[in-house]
Amino acid sequence: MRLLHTSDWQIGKVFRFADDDILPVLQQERLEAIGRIGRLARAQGAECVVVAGDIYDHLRPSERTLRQPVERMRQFPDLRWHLIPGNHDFNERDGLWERLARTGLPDHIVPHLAPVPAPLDAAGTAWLLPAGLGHRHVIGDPTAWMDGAATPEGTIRVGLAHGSVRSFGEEAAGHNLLAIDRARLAGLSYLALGDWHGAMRIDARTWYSGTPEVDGFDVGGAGGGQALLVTLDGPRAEPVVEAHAVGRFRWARAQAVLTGADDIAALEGRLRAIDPDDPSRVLVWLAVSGALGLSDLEGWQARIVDGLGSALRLLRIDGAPGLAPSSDDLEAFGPGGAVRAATETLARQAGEGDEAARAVAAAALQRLYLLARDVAGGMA
Amino acid sequence: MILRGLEVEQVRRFGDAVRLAGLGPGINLLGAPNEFGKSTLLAALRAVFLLPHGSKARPVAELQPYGGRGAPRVAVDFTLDGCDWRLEKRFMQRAFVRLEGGGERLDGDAAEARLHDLLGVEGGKRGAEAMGLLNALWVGQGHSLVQPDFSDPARATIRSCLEADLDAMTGGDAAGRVLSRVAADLAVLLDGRGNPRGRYRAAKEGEQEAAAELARLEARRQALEDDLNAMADLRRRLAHEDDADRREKERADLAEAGRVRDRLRDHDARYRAARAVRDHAAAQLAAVRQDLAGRTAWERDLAAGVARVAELEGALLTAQGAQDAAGAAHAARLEAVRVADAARQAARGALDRAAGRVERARLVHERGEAAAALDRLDRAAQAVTRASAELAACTIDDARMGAIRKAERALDAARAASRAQATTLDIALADGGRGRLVLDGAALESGRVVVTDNAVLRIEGIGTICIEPASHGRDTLRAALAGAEEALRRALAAVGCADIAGAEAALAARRQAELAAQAAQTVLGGLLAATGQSPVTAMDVARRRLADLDVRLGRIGAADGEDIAGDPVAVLDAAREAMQVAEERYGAAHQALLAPDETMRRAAEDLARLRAEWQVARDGAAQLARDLEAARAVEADEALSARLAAAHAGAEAAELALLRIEETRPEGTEALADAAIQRLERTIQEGHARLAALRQEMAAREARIRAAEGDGLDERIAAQERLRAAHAAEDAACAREVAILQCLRDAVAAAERAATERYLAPLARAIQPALSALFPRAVATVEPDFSISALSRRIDEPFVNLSDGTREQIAVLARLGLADLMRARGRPAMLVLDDALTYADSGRLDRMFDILTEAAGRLQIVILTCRTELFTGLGARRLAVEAVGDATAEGH
Repeated sequence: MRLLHTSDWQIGKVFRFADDDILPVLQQERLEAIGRIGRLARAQGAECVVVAGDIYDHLRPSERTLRQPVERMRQFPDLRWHLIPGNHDFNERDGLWERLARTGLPDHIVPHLAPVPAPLDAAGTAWLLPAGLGHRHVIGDPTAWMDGAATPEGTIRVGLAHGSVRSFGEEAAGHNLLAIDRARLAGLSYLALGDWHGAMRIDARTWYSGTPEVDGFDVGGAGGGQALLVTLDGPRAEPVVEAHAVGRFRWARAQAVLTGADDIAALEGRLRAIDPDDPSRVLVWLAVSGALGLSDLEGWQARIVDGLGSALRLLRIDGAPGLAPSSDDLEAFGPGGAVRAATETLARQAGEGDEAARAVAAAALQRLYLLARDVAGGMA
Repeated sequence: MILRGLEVEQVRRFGDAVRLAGLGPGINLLGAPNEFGKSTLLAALRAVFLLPHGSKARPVAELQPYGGRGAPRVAVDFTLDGCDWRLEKRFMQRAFVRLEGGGERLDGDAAEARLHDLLGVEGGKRGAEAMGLLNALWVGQGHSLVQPDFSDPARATIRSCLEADLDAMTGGDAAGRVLSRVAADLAVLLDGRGNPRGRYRAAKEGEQEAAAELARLEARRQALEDDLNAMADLRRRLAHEDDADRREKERADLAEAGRVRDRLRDHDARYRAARAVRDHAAAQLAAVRQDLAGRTAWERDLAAGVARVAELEGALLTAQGAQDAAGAAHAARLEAVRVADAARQAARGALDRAAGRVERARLVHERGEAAAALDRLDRAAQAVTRASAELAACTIDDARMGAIRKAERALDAARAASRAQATTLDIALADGGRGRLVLDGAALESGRVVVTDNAVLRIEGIGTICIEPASHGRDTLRAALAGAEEALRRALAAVGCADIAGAEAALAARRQAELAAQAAQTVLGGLLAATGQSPVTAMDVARRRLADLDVRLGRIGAADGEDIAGDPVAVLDAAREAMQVAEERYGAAHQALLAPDETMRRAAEDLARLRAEWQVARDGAAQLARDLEAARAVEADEALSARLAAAHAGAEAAELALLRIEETRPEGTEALADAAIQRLERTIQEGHARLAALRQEMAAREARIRAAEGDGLDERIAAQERLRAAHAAEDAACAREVAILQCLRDAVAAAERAATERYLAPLARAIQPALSALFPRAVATVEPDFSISALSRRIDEPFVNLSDGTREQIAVLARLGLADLMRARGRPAMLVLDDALTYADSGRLDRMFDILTEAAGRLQIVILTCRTELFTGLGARRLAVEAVGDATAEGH
């Protein structure tokens, strides 16, 4: 049989760094990913989709947020969607899962709230051992029960759980820690895990699918934006796992030290190369340092801040290149005069006093150069 | 720059072409009345130099002739840097410009550009005046009071003039522009008071609002958490309350408790019955035992009673004997009393007799005393009577004696008076003369003789001598003497005395009589003093007492006791002692008789008591004997013993039965069982109520939870946190931007201030000479915008506070200074003053003339005025307006 393994949809997630324009796009795209997963499952002949927790980002989503993923799954009645609660949307009493149940879920959407084996497909050739979370932090291994869980003889056992795997021999107390060899201990054909946002293979039978739509600049494993197509030929057969891209946005961190026009050009090239076909799918968190002359500073502003800032979905910049005025820049103010005197004052302030005052003086100096140049240009 | 000629045509009131004639270096004065067109000429001058020929702006339109359209034309001739130029412009229709000079001839825009270049001005926008310092130097009517208002190009011109001195660009202009840009940028973020505005304010407010909303949402989430926790608790309690097993167990417990109580009650009833049986048997046994004991006691009591009767009879005999003995003793005591009484009677008779004797003796003595007293009283009364009679016989008393003495003294006085008038005879008798000298019959002795009346002295042997004293009033004296002698004689006669000595003796005798009477009265008073009676009464009383005593003596008589010898008092004492003894003896006997007779009383009591006891003992024994007999008649002793054995057996059997029941007692008590039942019943009953309450509360909580969850609190909190963070970031960015701009502004402003201070010095220096000439010791404060803000004489005086005249003069001086500065830097400069200095007083005006005259040596000054007379002393070049074509020009 074939199934599609996904997790950590985290519908309703709020991105603090995103402004009002970008936030709805990012949130919307997480919903769109469900459609892409469904279509992928259909296209690959999977009978069901297992979602390993954290369908929702919040324990108390709004009614609309609560219903939105259900409505997306409803469009795929030919697929069975098996859901378990994760640490973000754990199953608390009177919580969202009860709300969800009250909305009247269609039969092909099956939340597994209790550790009870359930048939994975209509034929019953495979059985699901769900280990959803009843609390945000569970002491003990929520998958431990799988070892002794009885399923019909000769059927495929598929575990579905949410948490971090524990290393061999690691006994340290932790939350939601899963035995790394649970698949072997419980005789599972496949253990579908959620919680880590990057896809990751723990062993041949144990995988994290990662989030289908990347939601951060620091996603571990193979990065997010994927779903895993799992082919199980029998209870003993090793699963065949294929990662398929389902995400739209590409999130990247970048660093640059800028000292001249070449650096700027290189940085621009580097960032545009992340997705040459569609830079609007790219979100970049750029940390920049260095110092530029006046004209290069203009170039930085024009090519990176304004240019790439418009091209990319998001360009978040930490830091800024400092100003390293050239002798030509200084000459623009003449050998004497008030502006020249002011630059000298500010340059001196930028080199003394506390950090904040120095930074302000440096910024003021840079601004003075730009203004003075504008003023001179205006007079010309 | 020297203006040499000005022609205008079709400019306002000047329809035909006219020329301002007489222009030349130095001071040029156009004096003309109002409405002459002086200001029009100035406007034409500004237009030709500063307005682009193609302009149709208001200044151009205003140049058009009155009452019709026209094409204003202005032409000027001027010398600049030694080169002569002619500039001509026509505005509006067929506008043109031509600039000729220095071998050049330029038209149109080229001419305008060249002109700007020459003048150092900057072309105006949209047909406005070109901007430069000339605008400020050519002052229109009504503007002379204010200081030059410099345009940016004007400032640049001044600045470049000033900076030339410094041999360096101050960049002041750039700094100004930077500052205005910074100020503009700051104004976007801060208002006039430095408070955030625009996006800065929005960020701050947004952050506050978001924080407030967040707090509200957090509170709601907390409420929701509380509800959820409460719900979980309610659910646990409900599960507990609603547990069917538990409720079934409660019901079973209640039933079991009921059964336990029933068992306890049943057992209790049986136990009480058995206990009653046992108590009955025990009572029966006790009754038998009591009967038995009673019979035994009776027998014992009977024996004891018989013995007692016998014992009491013996005692009775003894008691009777004792009582008889006591009776005999009493009779003896009675006899003794009788004997003692007889003796007492005899003693009393003897005593009475002795007492009678003593009484008679006392009465006799008393009668003697009374008779003596009567005698003393009688004698004293007689003495008083005698003394009184003697006293009454005395004729003289003190008063009469006083009258006698008075008459004597009067006689003595009359004699003395007579002697004072008398003739004194001093007689010295010779031996043998004695008796021979006789006066009035009396022989004289040696010595002095006083002759008061006619006298006859006879000397024996000699004769007689009649002496008649020659005294004055002798008759009167003689009469007085005779009167006095008569009075004395009468007084003596009244007391029956012959002379005074007799009277004195009689008076002494009277005193003796008075003393004797007084003594007798005193004796009598002493006797009567005790009684306070008159002597007669007292004597009567005494006589009656005597008679009474005689009567009492008579009554006693001499019959009793006369025979008894001895002293009556001693006899009486002896009789009294005998009587005392007899009384004591009688008292003792009587006492013995009357004293309680203990022996006899005890004997009687014992006898009575023993008799009563004996009676009781005898009756009791008889009753006991009867009772015992009756009881044995009812139940023989053997039958009673048999009944005792039977009762004993019955009691043992009942006790055994009770013990058996006690051993089968169930656990607990009925009270405990009742309490358990009540508790279980209450638990069951309250369980229903609790269940209902729990369900109700759960429903309420659930409704709240659903409402809160439907809101998507977590999602909204996350969104609100994002919003707050965004506002906070924006706020921080704005704050940083403000800090940067303020830092920049401060740095640039400080630098500009420092630079300005440096380059303003030449301007101040340029103005200072003229200023000092007008206002000695005054210093002007020049601002970076080249205005003069204050005048410092002794104190700082702000420009606006100065008088109109002073302000005007300073404004002129400022322009003069600027023009001077420009000229010195080789810039075109000339000054036009339209109706200026009208406020100056004559002294100031003269000094202004001096200043202008001095400056006119360096630059051309054109003065337009309607008050020509004021400027006569200026020695100016006079200008005239004449139609073009007139060959002659006025002035020089």
